Amino acid sequence: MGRPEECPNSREGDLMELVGDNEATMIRTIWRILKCPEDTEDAYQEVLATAWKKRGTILRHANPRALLLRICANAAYDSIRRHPRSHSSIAEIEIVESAPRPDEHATARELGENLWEAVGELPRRQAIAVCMRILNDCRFAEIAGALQCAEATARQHYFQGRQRLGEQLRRRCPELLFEETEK
Amino acid sequence: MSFENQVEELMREASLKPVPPELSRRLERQTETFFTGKIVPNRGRQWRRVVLSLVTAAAACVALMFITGLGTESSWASELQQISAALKNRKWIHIRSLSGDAERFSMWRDAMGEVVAYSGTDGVYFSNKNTGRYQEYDSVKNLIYDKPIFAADDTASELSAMVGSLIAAMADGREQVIILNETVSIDRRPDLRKKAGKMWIEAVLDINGGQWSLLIDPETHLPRFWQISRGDNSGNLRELVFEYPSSGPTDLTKLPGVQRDARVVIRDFPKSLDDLRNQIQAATDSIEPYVAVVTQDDTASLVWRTRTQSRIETRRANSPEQRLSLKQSNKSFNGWVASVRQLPLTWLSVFNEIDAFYSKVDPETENFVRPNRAQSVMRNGVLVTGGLWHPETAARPDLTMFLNKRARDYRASVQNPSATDAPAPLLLEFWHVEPEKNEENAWDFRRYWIDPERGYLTMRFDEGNVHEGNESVTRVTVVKQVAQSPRGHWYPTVLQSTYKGKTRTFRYSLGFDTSIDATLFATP
Repeated sequence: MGRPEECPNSREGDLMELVGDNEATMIRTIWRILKCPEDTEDAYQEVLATAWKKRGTILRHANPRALLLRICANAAYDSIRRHPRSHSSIAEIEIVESAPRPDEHATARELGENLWEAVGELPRRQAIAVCMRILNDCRFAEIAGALQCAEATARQHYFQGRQRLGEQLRRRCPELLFEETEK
Repeated sequence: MSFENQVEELMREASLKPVPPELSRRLERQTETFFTGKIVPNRGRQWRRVVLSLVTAAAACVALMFITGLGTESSWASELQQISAALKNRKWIHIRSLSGDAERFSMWRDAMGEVVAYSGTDGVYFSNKNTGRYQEYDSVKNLIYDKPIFAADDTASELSAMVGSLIAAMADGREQVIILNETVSIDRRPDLRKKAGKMWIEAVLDINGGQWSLLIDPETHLPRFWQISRGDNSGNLRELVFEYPSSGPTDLTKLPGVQRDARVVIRDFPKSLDDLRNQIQAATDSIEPYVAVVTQDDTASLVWRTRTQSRIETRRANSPEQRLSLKQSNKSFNGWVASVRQLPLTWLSVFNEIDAFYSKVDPETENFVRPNRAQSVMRNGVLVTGGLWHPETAARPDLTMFLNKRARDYRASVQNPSATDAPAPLLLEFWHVEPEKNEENAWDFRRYWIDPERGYLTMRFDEGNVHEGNESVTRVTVVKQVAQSPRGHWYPTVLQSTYKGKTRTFRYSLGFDTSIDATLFATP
């Protein structure tokens, strides 16, 4: 990942056009995972740098959009692992908008924090498969293309990741399963 | 709907918040700036790298295309039998990646497949069906988890599962192998292949366009190399080497990557928990229709309950607010569908007695009660179990999470309390393995005092934390009084729950001889 990859036939303009076409989706992908403007900006900067380094692979790839989304998910994943507690959660935001009782708010916030932290604790390929599938509705064939593996492997990464997420949440928030009051 | 599906749904719903417009504009400017030359990437040794990559790719192509010979189905079947016999004659099979492989691993498997040891970048484990134990290494905590073996444990790694399936199929003389949930034929299409100056029999597995090539020694009939090419035509190739040592690892501590001072944590779950859980579940399932008044402080609820429907009207003293909850069992949602009206807001929920999702009603989602529309209204929300307002679930906490065989961080014990003043004869304890390392706000222990003589009601439930060896109980739920339904089911009539210094007392008064009008359950 670290070494810049060169491709004499790939033109700067091609990558710029590709990124331009997918810019909104790329930004949305990172934002959906990080939910923090500063972290999103940092991660997006990393994405652009990585895309430049890997432009040869990206432009040759059968599904360059999927590969770009993988790079986005990857950068967001790295950000979560670096700053595990810094992300506000969308779960919290939406619950606040729905004017819940105070105990509901606390519970939802806790769940939201744990959800994204749990994503950060998944193995990288599982996290990327989960993010691409859930956040971008990518088909398994696209995920496989981006992860450079068989479609069945991508499917496996996704289901194992999702299962681990569930286990993580059960472990992190067991009290959520014991909420007492009738809502 | 499984918990995992609900997690997925939660993630989907949680991701609907749009990117703030200002952030979006900033990032779009960032894209523009990046590509307008303000950052100039180093073009460095570009051509040398290109030439090197082309040479490497060409070499790989030549190697793959060097195929000679012809084969027939019958001769392949015969060869497979010989492979099977040769594998069975070996004590151990060792499969390893080449040294340059970024995802390096080593895997040992005895001839019968009873013992499997794996050490790789994605984990270290040791599975021994002879002893019935499974060990897994946590490199972060330097712990070895030792637990009873479960069916899925020797497939803990994707790669070991694939290799294991292939070896098992060949050892059985089968031409089909299940890899990654797909049935794949072992096909000896190209007959012979040259590698390292020697001719090899090649068997090919086609998986999603990727070719997995197994090279077999024609003299010993033993597999020696397995080349895995990616299915995306990227030219990426992994090669695994098969070796046949006379001895293998005897436990996990002998495997690479495991520190010598690793501490072993034994995880044994009492078998009686399964029985207990089934009995609790059966008791919960056998609902008798009732009408109840449930009070808690200044709040009172009227509850109408049949086996498939429930209605709860909740009112708070001196408050105009009324909450109406209608629930209907609906198998298409694998649970209950509920409408909770809390004026002026109305909430909708879909839940299955363990997990629940709530959503504020709007005109577009009002029609959620149509079958198969449940997911469309699921939003992020809170998870609940039963609830203290239901007498049938109030004293029956859900214990299924503790039976999760993959749960790693707690241990359980069942014992009969010796103290004569114990709340109930049976005590279940669940402890985090490392309470001091728990995250903030996480519980470290839970204790359930259960009374088998009273339909396995949980007479007391404690939850707490441990700090520097000292326990502190944070939540106590105690059943103060109980009663029996005409059919003999036990339920609490007085229950106290204390959490963070605040005590709530629930009182339940149930009637079983009142007919329940079906119109009570009609959606308002």
